Amino acid sequence: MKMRCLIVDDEPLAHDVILNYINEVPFLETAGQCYRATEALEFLNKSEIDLIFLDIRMPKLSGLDFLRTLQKQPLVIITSAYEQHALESFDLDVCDYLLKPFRFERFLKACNRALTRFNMSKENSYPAPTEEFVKTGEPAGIYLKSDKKFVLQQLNRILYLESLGNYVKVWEGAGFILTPRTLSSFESQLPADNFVRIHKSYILNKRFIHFIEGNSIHLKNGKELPLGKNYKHVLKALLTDAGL
Amino acid sequence: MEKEKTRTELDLLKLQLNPHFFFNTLNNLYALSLQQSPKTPESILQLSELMRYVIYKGQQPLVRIEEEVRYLTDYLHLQQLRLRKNLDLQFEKNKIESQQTLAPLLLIVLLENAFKHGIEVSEDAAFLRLELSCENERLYFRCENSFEPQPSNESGIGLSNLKRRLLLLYPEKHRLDTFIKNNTFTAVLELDLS
Repeated sequence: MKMRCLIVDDEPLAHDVILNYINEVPFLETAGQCYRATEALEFLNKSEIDLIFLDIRMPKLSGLDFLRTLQKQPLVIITSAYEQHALESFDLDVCDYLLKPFRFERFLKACNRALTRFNMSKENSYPAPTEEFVKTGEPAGIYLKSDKKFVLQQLNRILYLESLGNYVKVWEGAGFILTPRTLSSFESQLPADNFVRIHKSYILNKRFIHFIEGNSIHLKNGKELPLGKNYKHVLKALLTDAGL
Repeated sequence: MEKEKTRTELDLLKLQLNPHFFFNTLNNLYALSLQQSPKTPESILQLSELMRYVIYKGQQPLVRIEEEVRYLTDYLHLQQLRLRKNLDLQFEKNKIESQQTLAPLLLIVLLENAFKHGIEVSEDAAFLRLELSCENERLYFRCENSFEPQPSNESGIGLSNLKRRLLLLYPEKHRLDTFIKNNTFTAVLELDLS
């Protein structure tokens, strides 16, 4: 699947360069062109866009102010003649910042960065911020002690927890937070509606189960976890739970 | 001492090569060259003339009016590359005594102002009408452009710098009027060059 791109720039020749470049990149396609940030706002209301090539200095509404108005921001690569907005842009979580004029190789590097993020967000595009936790009065997140920091971890993004001696690995996406706690202490804290202990070393977030086969539970991201000998009863509960 | 201070202030106020214009124009030339457009060579020459003028002539106290006019013309060509719509442009040159001298980079401020606050912002067709005459040591420059009132139309720093420079360079010998009527912005500059 190609990433759908939108070009936002007030100068037509700047569009020409980017159009040319997009045609050379197999995973990109041009879905639209806008000459004002205000046009782009309307365009985003009508169309799904994965990646915006965005100029900053435009009449009426600047590219950065445009980004600030977006509820749900697609991936963004800034294309500007100015260096001085770079810091501010990265604060707005843009993928990359291209200084005009830029050569194709530099453009491609920026697009590869965007692609990496694009693929990551697809893997993580599980049901969004889980209001169900909030509704039932359960916490939507917990603080995890990690190194010397306390990190706020959203519960609905946890894939599973894995015990490691006196530590627990809390997995999210392809990474984990290592926190000095026992797995059992989590078991009593996490909402039972959403998390289930399946093994002496694993607690699983039910929403990420793809299928169960024999003594293995396969997750949507391809990972496989063992169902513990003493946890066979969980299987039955899981199947009933899902309304099967 | 007082003279030195004035000179320093004038240097500070003098138009610097606007980096936004410069890099965006280079980007446009890059686009033209990728397309192998026949406009490429001429545009590169115009940009280099323009840079040469700002960098070297801009340092001199006086330049010939014909040099300043050529600079304005190059600027207009390059600016038009950046526009999506066709600009309705008229540049009426009445009697111009080409050897007459004046301080450099004054007239350009009115053009920059017209592009920044009028032409680039406009949604519909834009126009720019220029009228210049210079004889018997009197200069008359009129700049009219289409203009849509914006919610936050702060009067540009360019115009206020221009006013200050005129005050220092041509005290009691200049007149600058600006007014807005029927979506048209007009600036009229008159100089006594004697």
